[in-house]
Amino acid sequence: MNEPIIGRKIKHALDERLSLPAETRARLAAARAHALERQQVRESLPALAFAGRVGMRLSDPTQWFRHVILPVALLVAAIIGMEQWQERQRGAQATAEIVEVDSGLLKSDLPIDAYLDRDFLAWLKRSSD
Amino acid sequence: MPPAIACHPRDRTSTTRAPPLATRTELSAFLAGVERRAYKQALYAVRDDAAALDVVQDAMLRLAEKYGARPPDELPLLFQRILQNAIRDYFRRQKVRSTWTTLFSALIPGYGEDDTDPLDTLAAEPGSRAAEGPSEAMERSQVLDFIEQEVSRLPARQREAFILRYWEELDVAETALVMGCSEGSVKTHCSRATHTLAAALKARGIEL
Repeated sequence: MNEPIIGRKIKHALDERLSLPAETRARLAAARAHALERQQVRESLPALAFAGRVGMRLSDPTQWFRHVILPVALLVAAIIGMEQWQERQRGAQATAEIVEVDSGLLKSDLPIDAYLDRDFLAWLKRSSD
Repeated sequence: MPPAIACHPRDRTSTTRAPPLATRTELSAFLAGVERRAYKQALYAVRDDAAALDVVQDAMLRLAEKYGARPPDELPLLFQRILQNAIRDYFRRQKVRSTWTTLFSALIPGYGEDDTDPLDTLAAEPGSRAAEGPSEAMERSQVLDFIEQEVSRLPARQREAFILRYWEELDVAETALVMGCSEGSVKTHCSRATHTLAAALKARGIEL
């Protein structure tokens, strides 16, 4: 038994029965048209839906507050908070540096070269003033 | 008839870049090219004209809604997969209906006595559409009827594999993909189907 040959012959036989009654062809054409309509809806749906959502939100003051004002206010508050936190960090770091120099002076741990540095002496004068 | 744009596996061309998505015209041409074979496939399986049309319509809708914008090259395999699933869904619904009918007929005396058994519908002879005409045409028509009848009588998986391989001309890997089974299973199903059909034709004295 040669499977491909039998398969091919039966395929030809089945192909001969593809001429369908007019009513069946009409129903298949209607089904096809219906399916294509659904594809059309799907293609245009995302843009329309987005436009619809935006329009709905902007037309209602409550929606304006929830979807525009509130998020923007939260964003601004977050930026201000971060800025303040960074400022505080910078201040603490500067204080720590001064404490380190002062304690070095008090303990006489400062290297002798520091006293020969004009900038350092100028800084000491400014600090004492 | 519209031009056959990627309506058949043998028409497909391999592409290396991302192919363009199917337009409405391409989808329409594809569906027009496959709808009659799809209807026949469904008819061989469900053995009911109206149910076969419903199955095909369902498959077309699913393809258009979910995969209508996929590249045209992908449509044949997707549609075959959807069609086979739609046929299985039909049998699942029939099974559920049959279960409820049996349940009600057991609980309520007289319920469903006048209803037709779905199994009667499934076992109905489909060979009642023989074309009339000259004797040779009639003889040929009877042979074709017999072939269709034998294809319809094949076990579901064998028929599915045979039709996909030899009628839709998918290769073994594509058939396995559509059927959701291994390539070895496809070969086995095809071999058994072909053997059964050849034996039936031989027993009837039909030479193709």
